[in-house]
Amino acid sequence: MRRQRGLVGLMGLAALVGLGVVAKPAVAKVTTEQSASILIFPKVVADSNRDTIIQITNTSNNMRHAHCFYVNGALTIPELPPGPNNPPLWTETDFDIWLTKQQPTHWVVSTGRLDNPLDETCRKTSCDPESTGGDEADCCDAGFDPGHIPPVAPDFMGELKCIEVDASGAPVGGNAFKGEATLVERGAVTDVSKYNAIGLKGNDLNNMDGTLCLGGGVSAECPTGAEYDACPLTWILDHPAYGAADQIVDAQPFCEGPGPCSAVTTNLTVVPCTENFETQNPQLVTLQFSITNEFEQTFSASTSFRCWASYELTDINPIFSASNVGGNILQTRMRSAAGTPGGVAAVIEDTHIQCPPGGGCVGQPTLLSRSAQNAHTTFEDQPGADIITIPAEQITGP
Amino acid sequence: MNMGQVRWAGWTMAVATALAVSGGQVARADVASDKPAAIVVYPKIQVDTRQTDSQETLNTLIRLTNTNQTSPIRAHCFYLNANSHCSGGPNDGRVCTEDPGVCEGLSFCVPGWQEVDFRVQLTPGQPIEWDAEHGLSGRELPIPQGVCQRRPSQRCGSDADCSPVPGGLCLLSNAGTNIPPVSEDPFIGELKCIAVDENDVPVPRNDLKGEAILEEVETSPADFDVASYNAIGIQATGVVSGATNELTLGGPDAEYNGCPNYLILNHFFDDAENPVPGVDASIRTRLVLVPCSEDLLRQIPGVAVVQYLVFNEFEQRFSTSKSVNCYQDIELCNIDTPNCSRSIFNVAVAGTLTGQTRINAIGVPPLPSGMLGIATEEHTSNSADIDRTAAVNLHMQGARESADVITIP
Repeated sequence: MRRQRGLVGLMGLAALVGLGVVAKPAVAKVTTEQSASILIFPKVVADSNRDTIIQITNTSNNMRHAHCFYVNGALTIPELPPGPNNPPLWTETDFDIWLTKQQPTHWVVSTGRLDNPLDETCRKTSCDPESTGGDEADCCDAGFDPGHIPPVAPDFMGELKCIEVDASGAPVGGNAFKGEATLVERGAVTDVSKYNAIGLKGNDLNNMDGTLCLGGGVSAECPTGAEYDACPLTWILDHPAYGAADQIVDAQPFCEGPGPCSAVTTNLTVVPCTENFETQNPQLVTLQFSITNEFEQTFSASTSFRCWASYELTDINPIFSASNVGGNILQTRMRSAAGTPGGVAAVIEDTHIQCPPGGGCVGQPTLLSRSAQNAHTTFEDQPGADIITIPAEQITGP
Repeated sequence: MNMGQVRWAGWTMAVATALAVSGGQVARADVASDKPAAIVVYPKIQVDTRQTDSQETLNTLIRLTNTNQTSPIRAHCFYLNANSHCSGGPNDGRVCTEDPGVCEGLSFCVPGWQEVDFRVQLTPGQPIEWDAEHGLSGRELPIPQGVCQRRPSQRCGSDADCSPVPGGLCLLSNAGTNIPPVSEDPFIGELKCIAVDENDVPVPRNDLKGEAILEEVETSPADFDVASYNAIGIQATGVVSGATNELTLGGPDAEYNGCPNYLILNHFFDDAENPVPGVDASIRTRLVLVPCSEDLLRQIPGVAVVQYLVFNEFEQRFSTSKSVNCYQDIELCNIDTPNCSRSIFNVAVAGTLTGQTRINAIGVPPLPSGMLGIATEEHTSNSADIDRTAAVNLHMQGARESADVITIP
């Protein structure tokens, strides 16, 4: 009889393996190209030089709602370097949007968007950018306004996160939203770069409370287990070594002179997957980097951040520099360190510059063009749950 | 039924349940540009250094990376030249992709589709980069030849070449790699790389990733513009079926994930003004589509009639369709009409600045196919004659019911 119980147990185990409960391989499903329930725009900028256009679309055939948070990671005194007396602001501003079936919408981050049904369509007027977000926006804001989108604070640098909710404000896993951010340089030369919002898909286990469980198993905080896909264990970033020449620009006739006249720099923006909008007390996240150049030589580096960070790669470690790493093209694998609270989301932006002839790539570039890029992820999830906590008064559960 | 039979039946049921339920995990029907894959597709590779009508040159930087940190990988890559050429007349053979008018006399501009293939050998964790105009070969390769671990001055092809030094190993290299320049200048087309073993048999290793950087350089006055996108990855499922040179994407015996049912593009309507205060620029978007099914053995490209469902910010819906045969790189407003001002993709027709376009490919003979694609968004300054471009990967939804097939030589 004891042997029979053992057999039954083994049979059950086999069935559980089939159900994926025991041996299902971890598959990171964080996505930049499928509709999701949580959208993360890691890099949103609105200062005197650059602005950001946010595009969000409801890809479902029902009206959908989202609760969105701006998190301002700008320094308290932007003109001064960061330090204990000049920490990032980490202030949060939230608002709601609602979109009818298949409706796309957009807004400019510095101006926001008023809820004004009297805007003229673009059939009669064209968009005057100076009116964007205002009462007379007309074509610039034509369409069903998604709600009242507030403008961000001056010199904003931070993150936008939108979470799908139902009409009462309770989080749901409808996977209806997709989004893009376009970073626009102001001035005569309107340089642009664009990336897809990072999406986390929801599932049917959402208990609609203010504690959103990203991956992980059943716990006191997550009584139903994972409500959303987990953040990935590792991000894979391909990028030029910092300061490496752009070989196409360098081959041009206007690039004659001693040494390279162009360079490519890379900026990495990261946000933690775990965020508590109730306590607004961000935890320290340590990032580990493993860097491989084209000669198969491997190096490592690490850094720490809270809440939001945007680094030039050489600010993390000089090893990213072309002169130090000894190569021109790098594969960097980034993960949060063991013991660090949870995973991260990331986006990179390359800046290609051309410098004055003969002067090397030092000082002000004469030309500049940027391109943002979504990073790749591995197939492995963060082992534990990341938690996003929404203040209780911002949701109304069932 | 005796006890042994009961146990046998129980085990059979348990295992059958396990297989039935877990079977779906093998073939996840998601093509993805944000995860490593066994096939990577670069939908837009462009080169044009002629500077005939302007001081403008186009070129593309291509990155390919082995994300496996412990094993080398070999990729079989195909440039697919989608140039059109004049047939007959004084300009016979001349490229007419952008301007069919160059085909003078009794001459026609004939669409083309021709492949050139090559192999790339990557060491563990190795990224490489090359520009499409020149390629990468010989001493330009990062590690052109293997060397003996204990005697770095001695070149080797295998461990045997390093004997008699005890324990000598031949270090891995890019030997066997010869990336040619694209076959024409100007060139417009696609690059596709497939993970293969040393015998060029496709292997289900989801270890490749890639990016393309489209660069446009003006020599007078000096200026340049870059836009980058991720190569689209088609993950292997681990299933092996059919002939080794026929790669099945999706369907019941999927060796690779299926192509998407819908591509979704969020875009500004063409000629929309950039709404950012302090900016004076208008926006146009180009859509690039490449077929999932391709018969590279018989040079038969995939064909589809592509349905476009367009929604503006008033939830108003328009639709149009256009067939795609092998390759499409087109401004949105030229999908439904040659007259951009009358297009449903024009801001003055659509009525709002932004829209959502859902793209559904309906495969048609001779080689019914789904589609993959990217978009490029061009912001043109109204005051200065300067363009700045951003490229973006399209979103995808669902998987096609029928399989797509890539046939390699």
